[in-house]
Amino acid sequence: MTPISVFAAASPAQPASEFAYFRLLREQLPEPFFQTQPFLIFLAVVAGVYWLTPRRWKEIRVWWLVIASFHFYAAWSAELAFLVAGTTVADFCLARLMDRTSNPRGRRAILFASIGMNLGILAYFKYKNFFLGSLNTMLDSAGVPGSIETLSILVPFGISFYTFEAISYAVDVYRRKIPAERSLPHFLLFILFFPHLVAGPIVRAGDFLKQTRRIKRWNWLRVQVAVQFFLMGVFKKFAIADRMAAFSDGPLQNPGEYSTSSLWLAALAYTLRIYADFSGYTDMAIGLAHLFGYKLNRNFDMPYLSPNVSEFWKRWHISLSSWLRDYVYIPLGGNRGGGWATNRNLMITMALGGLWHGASWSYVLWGVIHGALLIGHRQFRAWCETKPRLSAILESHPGTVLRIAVTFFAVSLAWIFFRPDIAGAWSVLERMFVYSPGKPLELNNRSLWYTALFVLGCHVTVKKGWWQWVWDRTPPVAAGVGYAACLTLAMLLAPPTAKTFIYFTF
Amino acid sequence: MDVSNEPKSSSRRRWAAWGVLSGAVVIVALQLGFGAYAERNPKRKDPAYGDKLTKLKVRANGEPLVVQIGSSRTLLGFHAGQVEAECPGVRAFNFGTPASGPFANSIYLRRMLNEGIVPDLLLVELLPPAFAEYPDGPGEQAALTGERLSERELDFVIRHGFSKDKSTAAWRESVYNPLYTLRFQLLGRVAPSWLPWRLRFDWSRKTDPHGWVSPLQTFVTSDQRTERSAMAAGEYRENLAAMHPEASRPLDALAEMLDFSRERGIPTRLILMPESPWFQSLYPTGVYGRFRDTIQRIARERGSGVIDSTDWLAEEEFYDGHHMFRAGAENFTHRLTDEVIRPHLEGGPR
Repeated sequence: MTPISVFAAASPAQPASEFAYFRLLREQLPEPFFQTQPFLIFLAVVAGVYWLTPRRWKEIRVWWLVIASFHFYAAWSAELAFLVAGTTVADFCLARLMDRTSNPRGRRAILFASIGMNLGILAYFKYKNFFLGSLNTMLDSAGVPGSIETLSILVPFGISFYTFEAISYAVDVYRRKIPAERSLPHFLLFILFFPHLVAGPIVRAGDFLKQTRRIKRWNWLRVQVAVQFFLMGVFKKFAIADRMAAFSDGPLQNPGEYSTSSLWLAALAYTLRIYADFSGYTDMAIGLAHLFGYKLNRNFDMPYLSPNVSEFWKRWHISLSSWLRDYVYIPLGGNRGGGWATNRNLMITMALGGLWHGASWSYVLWGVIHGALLIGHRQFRAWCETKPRLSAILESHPGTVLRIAVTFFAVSLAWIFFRPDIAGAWSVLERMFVYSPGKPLELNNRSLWYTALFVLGCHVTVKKGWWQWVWDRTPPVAAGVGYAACLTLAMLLAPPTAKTFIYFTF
Repeated sequence: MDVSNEPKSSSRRRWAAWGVLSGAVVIVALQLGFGAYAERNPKRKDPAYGDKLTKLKVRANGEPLVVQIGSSRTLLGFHAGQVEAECPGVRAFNFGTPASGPFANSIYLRRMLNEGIVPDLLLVELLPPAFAEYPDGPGEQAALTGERLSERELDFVIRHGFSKDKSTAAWRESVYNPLYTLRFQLLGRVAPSWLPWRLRFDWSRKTDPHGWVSPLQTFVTSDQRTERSAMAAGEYRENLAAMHPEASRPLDALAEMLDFSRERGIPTRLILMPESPWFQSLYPTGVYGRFRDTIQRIARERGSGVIDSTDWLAEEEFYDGHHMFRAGAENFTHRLTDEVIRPHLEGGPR
């Protein structure tokens, strides 16, 4: 069995397509996952044609990537691929119109039209049932009979990512930070580029569009970096994230059956899983983009070594946290309005950030918890400034280790709410803090501890610069053996049941 | 790691090219090398078989050798060490592996002979659920999957009705992508605790030197018996209903195996293992009787015999109606030794 057959079982339901062409396409590329055999064949074809196209035909190359990216998405759902492409064309036209309009009120109206369209699509597909469900719950509790029927609609993959990209583009054009893009294929590639289409990183137009204009030359260094990132992502996904799912899934889904110690271990496994899963996907995306000569920004910077929550958010899902900072927190006033206003802005931003992740109150609560942690950290930092001895202790080496441990603990507890089931999350927390007998984990704990130590070891090795030191002195054949070893380990450690990337559902 | 788009010096680019290409060569070599190695060494693909074979080689020292092959019923029921104690000068071995039916038994016999081990008496368990046959092939193909087989063995099972597509695809994956396909077999050797119990492939290391294993429990409560019996019923009822007692491809495979062992001069006896009255009630009416008649005919035509031990044990000697406790295994083995093994070894020439 190869990765594809495993992932076929894990893929979400696909919508029906009318056209035979798209049905055939779906048969060839059943799901938009990077680590499957059909995707690797797709990638080989796309990269082959891309690099064989003479570089003076750079517009052809851009069109080729647009077409490939459209097919990548259409293989999963042709209708939704047309929807994404259609709204992208609309965003392109609105921005052009905005650029030509000098009247501030007209520009603002166009901005709102663009944002409204994107948020409307997001609200319809992702949040409609959430809002209707919440309304039904309120009506029920108020004793109003009857309920509003929710819809069975398919949420487009990556909708939260590309709508945010489109919104940031419209705002940046409105603020005149960037000019409106004149080339439709370049703009289509900015939104549809398949490495980041499904689960980010959230790309900024200012970073990406200038890259579309550059001539790309074939370069082995580019391939080497691409392979390195891709393999790192594969390793994180197979050998860490999916393995950790085997520890966390059972206890988090049925907490009542498991003992207190099992739930603590499951929480640790879930913490590792989320990081390895999402940063693994991001590594693959960065590697794939690099193969075509595009640089996507870093999305993670060893977040679990953060000494406080504020630092954590500078290192975790950087493309989202910086987006929220630039397009929500700062427009709300940021930290310019005094303590209370800053705390309010932090809380609103984090609650919206939570809601962005999933249409469920548990994600909102997760965002609120992080908002509270950020506010708490802010207050604590201000208090510490009046206590120089305490500050010195906390800044010392042991103090920093303690702060990292406390931050990791708080973030890990908050992850328990990072699932759609809020009642289940409360139950997990309750059993974690109130001694409860129950089942042990299905797998031996040893491999969980080894994995945790391995992740910690990797972080420390990179943080101290030891990795770079070794890498700079590594002969090429040894590097090749390292790549092979990485892939071999990823395959050997892959669990029987592979999982869809967590962030694909956002 | 540097991810800038700027071209770098030519030496750095050469370094990158060598790194990528050597990595590709190493991974392809690893895959193909291990695939070829596993194809020639069945114990790598099938560790349970490998562990049994290793222990069997220790026992096969030139003295008369009795081997029983079969499923988990044999694994738990045939106390080969007891046979050696009751028949001094005889070597006995339990070659039971879970879910083995006529196809696995046949393949294991051929592998054993290839290793130069020729039993003086071969006892072959007949596991009735393994004689189920469905429109897409024998029921045993669910357990005897393609990645456990060599190419020659693949031909054998396909000839007897295993799904060509599924079996070939699984075999091909084990040859061309063995590091992924055989990962549980490999990891189960190195770090079994990293795997769930059902994928560890290391239970076979924990049998006694004669290949026998016995449950730690010596009795079950009535609740436990009910629960385990329900599990057994859920597992087997469908297979028992899909048995074709007069003619089927599993029966053909059994006949072929008996022909093969007769050609090699290996005295062979077929055994219908003990089953509790409750388990016997799971068979559709008349099926077990007709099955017994058919295999008696097949054995008779090939100079073999059938030992029908179905009713040898009482309900409490099983923990789920067909897997024996230690006491059940001792009683079964004692009677088998008295009535079959000793008379054969004392009386009959090979």
